[in-house]
Amino acid sequence: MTRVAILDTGVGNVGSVRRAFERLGAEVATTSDPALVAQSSRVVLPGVGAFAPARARLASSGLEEGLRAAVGHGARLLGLCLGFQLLFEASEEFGTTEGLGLLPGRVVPFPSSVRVPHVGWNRLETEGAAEGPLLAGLPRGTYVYFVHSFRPEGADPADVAAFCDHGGRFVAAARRGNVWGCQFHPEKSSAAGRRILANFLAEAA
Amino acid sequence: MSLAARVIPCLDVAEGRVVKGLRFENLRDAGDPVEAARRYEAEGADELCFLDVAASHEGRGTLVDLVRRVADVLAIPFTVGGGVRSVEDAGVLLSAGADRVTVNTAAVLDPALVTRLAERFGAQCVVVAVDAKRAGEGFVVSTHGGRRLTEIGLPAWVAEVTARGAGEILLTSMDADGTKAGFDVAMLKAARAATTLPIVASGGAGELAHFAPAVLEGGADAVLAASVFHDRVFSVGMVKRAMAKAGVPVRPAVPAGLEEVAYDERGLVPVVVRNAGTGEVLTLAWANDEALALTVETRQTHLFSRSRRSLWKKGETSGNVQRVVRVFLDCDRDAVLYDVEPSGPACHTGAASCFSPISAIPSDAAARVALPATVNGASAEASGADPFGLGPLFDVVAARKARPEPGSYTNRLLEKGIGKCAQKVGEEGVEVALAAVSRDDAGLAAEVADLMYHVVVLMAARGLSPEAVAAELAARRGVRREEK
Repeated sequence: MTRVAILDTGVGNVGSVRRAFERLGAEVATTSDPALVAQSSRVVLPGVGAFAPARARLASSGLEEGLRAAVGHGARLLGLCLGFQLLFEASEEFGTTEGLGLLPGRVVPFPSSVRVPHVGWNRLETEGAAEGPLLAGLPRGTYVYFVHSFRPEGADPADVAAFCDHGGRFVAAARRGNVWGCQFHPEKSSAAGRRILANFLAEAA
Repeated sequence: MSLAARVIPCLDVAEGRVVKGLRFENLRDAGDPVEAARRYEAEGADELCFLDVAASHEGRGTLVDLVRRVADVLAIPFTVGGGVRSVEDAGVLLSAGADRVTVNTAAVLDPALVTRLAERFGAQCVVVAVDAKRAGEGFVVSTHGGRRLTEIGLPAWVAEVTARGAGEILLTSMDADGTKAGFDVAMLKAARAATTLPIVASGGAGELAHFAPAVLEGGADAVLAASVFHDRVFSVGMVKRAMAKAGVPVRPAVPAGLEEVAYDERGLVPVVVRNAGTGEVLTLAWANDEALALTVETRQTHLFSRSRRSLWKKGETSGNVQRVVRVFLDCDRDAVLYDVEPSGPACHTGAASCFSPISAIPSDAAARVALPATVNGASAEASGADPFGLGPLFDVVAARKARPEPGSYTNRLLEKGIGKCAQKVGEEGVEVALAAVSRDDAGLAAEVADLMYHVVVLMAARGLSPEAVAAELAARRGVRREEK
C-alpha cells in the first residue's frame, strides 16, 4: 500500500482528494505535520481558494519545509488546482505573490474575452506536450474537470504534460522530475482522474 | 472553446432515499441514492444533482449523512439543494462533501443570501435554482416548488442573482416540467439574454432529440433530467451520443469496465476479433475509445480505421455484422478481444477470417497456420479442425430449410418435423452400432456419415446453431485442461 501525505492547508475540499486516493487502496494521511510530510514518498498539495493566503500558510506552518525536504529526497509531489499554481514562481492574483518556484512560469488571469471562472469538463490536448507518466494510458482528448480563474503561463515546454484551451492554450498538467501538477481536479474527473491518480501512485515513473 | 455541455441526472431524495412522484406529491421510494449515483457516474454523467424534496428541518441530518455517503463513492462533482436557507445550511452540506449547493425560494425571499454564500464559499459553489412560468408574453419566477407565483420577471431575477455573485443558474420551466414534451427553449433564451453565467436547463426532457436544442438554441451549458434517467428510458450515454450527433460538444461516456483500457499514443488499442463459437481468429484491428464504447453498448463490433481515420461498424456496408458476446481486456490492458457471433464473412475478401495460410511455409507448418487456432493456445487439431466437413453440410441443410427444393430428401424430413428427425437419428445410431461390430470400414463409414447427416438435419429442425455445439465442445476442452 502506498503511503500518501495530503497537506492539510486549512482551505478547500481536502476530503474529496483523500477519498479519491483511498478508493485506489492507498494509505492516506491528511496532515499538517511537516515531519510526516518530509518522510512521505508521495505528497499531495491540494487547494481551493486564493493564492496569497495559501502561500502564507504554507510558509508559516512549516509545511513548506516539509514539502521541500520530501521533494529533495526524491518523494513524488502532486499539486492540484491551487496547489498546482503554488508550484510556479509567482502569481498575479490580487497583486504579485511569490510561489514555491518548483516549476518555471507564473500564474496569470484569463483574458477578459472568456468566461471566468473556467468551470466544467474540458479536453486535455497533448499535441506539442512532453510524453510522460502523468497521463499514461489515457485516450487522446480526454475530458477532465476544471474549476479555476487563473492559469499558468511561461512554463518550460519540456515540463508540459498537457494543454487545455480556454481563451487560448494554457498548461493544464505539468511534470518536472518528481514534481507533478494538474490545474484540473482529478478527484472529480471520474475514470480519467482515477487513472491519473493511479499513475501518480505507481512505482515506476 | 471546448468546454463540454454537461449532462446532469437529478435525484429527488427524501429521508435519505430516492423518491419518485410528481415533484412534491405522491412520493414513492425508488431506491438507494448511493447506488444510483454510482450507476450514473459509470454511465458517464458529468455531474449529479440531489434535490431534497421533503426539505424538512428534521430531515437535515439524514440529508447530510446522504451527502457524506455519496461523496465517499462519487468521483464527479455533485450539487445538493432543497431547503438551503442560510450560510450555515450550505456550509454543512459543503463540508459533508457537496461541491455546490442550490438556493431557490430562500434567495427570492432574501436576495442578499446569494452574496453571503458567494463571499463565504466562492461563486462556483453557489447555484441559484429558478423555477419559472410563462406569464403572457414573458416569464415570471415562482417559489415553493412552483405553487406560488411572484411578480418578478425572469430576466430581471437572473440579472440580479448574477450581479449578487451566483456561479450558475439552474432554470426549471414549471410549465414543461413533467410533460416530457421538450425543454422550454424560449424561456432559456430569455434567461440567456440576461446573464453570462452557465445555465442548466431543466424540465421537459422526454426524448433523445430534446437535449441538443436546449444547448444549441436555448444557449444552455448543461441539461438536467430526472425521470427519463430513473425510469431508464435512456442512459446518459445515449443522451450524450444524440447530443454529439447534433453537434453539441460532450464528454464521451465511457462504459464501466472500459476505464482501464490503456490506449497508445494515437489513442488506439489493438482488437482481436474471435468467433465465439469456434474460437477461430477472424480479424486483428484497432479501436479508439468511442469504438469500444459503442461496441459494449450496442453489442455490435465497432472499430477504428487507421487508413480512413474514422470509426466504423463491422457490416455497415456488407451487412456482415458481428454480435459481440463478450469483451476481454489483456493483462497489460493494452489489447482487447471481442468474442463475436458473425452473421457472415469477417474479411472484405469474402473469407470467413481475415487470416489465410502463407503458402511459402512448408506444408507441416502451413497446415498448422491454416487451421483455426484458439487464442488461448489450444492445439489447432483439437479445437477447430473440421475433417468431416460438417460446416459445409450444415450450410447446405440450412439453405434447404430456407429455400426448399422439390424432391429434396432433407426438405421431406424437415417438413415431417422434429419428431421424425429425432426418430431418424435414433435409427441411424443403432445402425452405426451394428456396423461397428458386423461390417467393414467402408460400411461403418457409410453408417457414420448417415448418422452425422441426420444429426445436422435434427439441429436445423430445432434451429440449434453449430456454434452452440462448438461452444459446448470448447467449454469441455477448457475443463479438461484445468483438470490436468
